[in-house]
Amino acid sequence: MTAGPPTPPRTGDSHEDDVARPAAALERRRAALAGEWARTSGDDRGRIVAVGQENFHRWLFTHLRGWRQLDSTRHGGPRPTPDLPSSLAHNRRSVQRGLRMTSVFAAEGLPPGLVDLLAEQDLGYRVAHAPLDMKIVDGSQVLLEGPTIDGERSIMLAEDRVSLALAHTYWSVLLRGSRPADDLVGLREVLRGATSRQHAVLGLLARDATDRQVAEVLGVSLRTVGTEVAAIKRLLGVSTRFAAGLELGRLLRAVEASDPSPSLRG
Amino acid sequence: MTRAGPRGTLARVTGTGADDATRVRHGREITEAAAALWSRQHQLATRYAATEADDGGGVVVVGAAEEFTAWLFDRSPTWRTLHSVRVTGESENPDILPAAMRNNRRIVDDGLQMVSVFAEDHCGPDVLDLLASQPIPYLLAPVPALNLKVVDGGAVLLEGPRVDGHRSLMSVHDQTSMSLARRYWRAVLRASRSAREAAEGRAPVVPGLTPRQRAVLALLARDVSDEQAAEVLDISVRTLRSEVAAVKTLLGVSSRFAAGLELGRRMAAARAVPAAPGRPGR
Repeated sequence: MTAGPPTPPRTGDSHEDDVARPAAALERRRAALAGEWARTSGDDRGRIVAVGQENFHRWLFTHLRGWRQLDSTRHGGPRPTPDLPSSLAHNRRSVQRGLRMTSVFAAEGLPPGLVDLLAEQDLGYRVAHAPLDMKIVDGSQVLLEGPTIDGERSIMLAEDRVSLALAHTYWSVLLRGSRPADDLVGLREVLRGATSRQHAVLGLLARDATDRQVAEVLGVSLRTVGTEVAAIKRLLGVSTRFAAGLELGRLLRAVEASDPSPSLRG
Repeated sequence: MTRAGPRGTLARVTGTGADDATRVRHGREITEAAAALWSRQHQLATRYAATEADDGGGVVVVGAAEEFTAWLFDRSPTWRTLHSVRVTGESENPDILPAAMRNNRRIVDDGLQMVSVFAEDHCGPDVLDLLASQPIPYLLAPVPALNLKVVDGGAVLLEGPRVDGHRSLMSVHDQTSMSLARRYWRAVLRASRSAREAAEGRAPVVPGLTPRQRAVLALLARDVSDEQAAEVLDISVRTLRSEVAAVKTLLGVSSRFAAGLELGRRMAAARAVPAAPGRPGR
């Protein structure tokens, strides 16, 4: 679906150093624009497109149809984010419709289950040290976190040349240091004997997804989800979902105890 | 399974424990009585391993913990009193304890007078929560790994010999065993305290839960079905599910799988942080 990066990934430490400066430069620009637009409705450099996570997703999914290329980096977070399954499902559909998407997830705190989930998607998801969330649309617009408005986070779209240059620099360094999600150690290391689809199901369940969301993201029927969950429970030696979650947590902790950052192990 | 907090801490919190000297004396009494009973048990187990039961006693049931529970449940209608010292094993099936709770409540409802003491060092927080949720006043004591049941102040049930690789339970009636068993029982009872108070005096893994919600979590963690959990807590399945919903809200998740994962995470975190010395309730 997406082409790999032009050069092979380099080692972790120097990559973090490389990313830090362009990230800081873009962050300064972002903060300056956010400060200005918090009081205005924007100007010819750009504007705030949505206030609140839900509104942003609505905006994003509406506009996604018109885009040809999307370069995106975001954090997956160690905690379940309810929007993730629907984001992945939208991404899948957009790519099927012809969107050229390159999506890099922040490695920090990325849980092993999410790594498997991303690998399972087969959409070329990548992972990198990515301190700042950002999207570049069709190479000409940048989406960044905007000011806090009435206590809610906002997203702003910048189109000016300075922001674009900074965003492109950040993106290229980020991409160079990234690696495919399937290279990383995920649940498949924790729960050997499960299929890759079962790893993906686990990854989604661990992020608090409903069966319907699991089915949607993986493109399978609800019945198949049920069958896979039953197989997972058998594999974990339990009969309820609660106990399965507890057991998975136990296995994950065992891995984390032996390696503090399993998702980054090469 | 985690261990309960330091004995001294819990005793201070519940207020039922005595001073250090008394506690040490109680502990020694239990240990001495247990040692004497254990050597008698060993002697009889060796004898009964080769023979059928005689007038003096013998093996009454062979098998896993499930069989023991079922056997007790079958016999108990004819008993008037049952004194029990129980060590919950980490190796036993996690759903044995819920099943035992359920059976105990039924036989107590049928009129049996039961005093049941659990080994506190083997009671993780989840076991405490389970015991505390029961209408039967379960007790805790610093007992070694020696199970005992005394029926109607007479017949003594002890762990028997291994039979074809399985555990067994033997019944003994001889004077020596009975007097050793009574001594052990009295020592255990002297050092015991309420499981409910111990559960209340402990810092919870998930703050803000009611005792019943804590018991619900303990049961779900033991992989029991909603129906079984409701039965153990003597509530309707509908009530149980609304309790589960409340727990999920408190954990900030909406699915049971994620709730299990989150509980596991918090349990690990609670274990990772050692108790501050001398702080009540950890």
